[in-house]
Amino acid sequence: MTNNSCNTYIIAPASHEVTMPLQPAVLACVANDVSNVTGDGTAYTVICDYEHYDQNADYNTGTGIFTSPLTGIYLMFQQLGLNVFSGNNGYLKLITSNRNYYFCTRLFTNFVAPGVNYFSGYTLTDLDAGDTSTMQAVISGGAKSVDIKSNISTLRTYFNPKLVC
Amino acid sequence: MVTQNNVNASYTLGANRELANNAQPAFCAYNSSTDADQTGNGTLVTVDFDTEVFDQNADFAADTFTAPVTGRYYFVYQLELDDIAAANTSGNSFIVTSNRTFYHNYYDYGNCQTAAGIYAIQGNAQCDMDAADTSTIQVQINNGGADTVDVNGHATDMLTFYAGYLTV
Repeated sequence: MTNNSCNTYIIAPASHEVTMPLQPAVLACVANDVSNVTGDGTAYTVICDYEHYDQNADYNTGTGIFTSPLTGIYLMFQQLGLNVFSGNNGYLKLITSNRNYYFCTRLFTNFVAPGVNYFSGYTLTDLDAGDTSTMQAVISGGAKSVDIKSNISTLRTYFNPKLVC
Repeated sequence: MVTQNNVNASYTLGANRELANNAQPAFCAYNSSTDADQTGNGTLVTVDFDTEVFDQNADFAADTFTAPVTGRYYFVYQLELDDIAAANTSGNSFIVTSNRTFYHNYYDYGNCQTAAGIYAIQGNAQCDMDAADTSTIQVQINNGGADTVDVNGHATDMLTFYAGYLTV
């Protein structure tokens, strides 16, 4: 649609589909399993250290922090692959500068069989420019033996924020 | 072109050509205090979302989103249910729109709650809505013998919330 002197930031071909290649959008995942991070109530901050895309370079693979470049509404999706044990309960948490979101609060191992399972949470959130967001796993009910599972081609643990309006 | 009308500068363009549209219909509302004994014995209840985080086009009121224009809307919700008992062996949650209803979360709730009786569920859907169509969130937990299941809320933390936006 509009083409500035440097970059085309909205593309609408003849058939009028619209893509926005400079719009903040991230898909980052955990590349290697991280062992024994929670299970005893420890709040573990998940760091997705491999990026499939990060259109505006807003996600830090060293810290696990997404920083909003622009005030707006962001669609946030997170999934954690967790190796859970009998008795594990807890929640996933999305921490933003403005507020915190709690997902999947439940007894995990009656919901699913013990072993590797997948838990997700999604929301719309308001972020001001410079605001941050991170995801945590807080699992209780056992020893600190819950692992974060990984794979970069069949994604198990990933973070997927994007600016929608 | 991206147009800007004479009244509102609705688009914000960032330094790296990010684009935000603060006039696009988008809302997020949550339950700020726990509503006790809402369901549990088959009562179908419309969930209370009494506090707005944002509502860019003023389309959300009285727990109901009303579409301002015809289009495709994405909705997502979470309900944190409390005082779930072993007898609550089934239930559902729903996105109810004028055109159709989306069913979610058919589980044995009484086998999945934390020791404190908490079980949180989510649902989402992409919905076609005409102008003035509405959407609400409903939940129905069964077999408890009485409606003793609460819908949790908190003044600041997002435990039970409903959000959506016009996508295309």
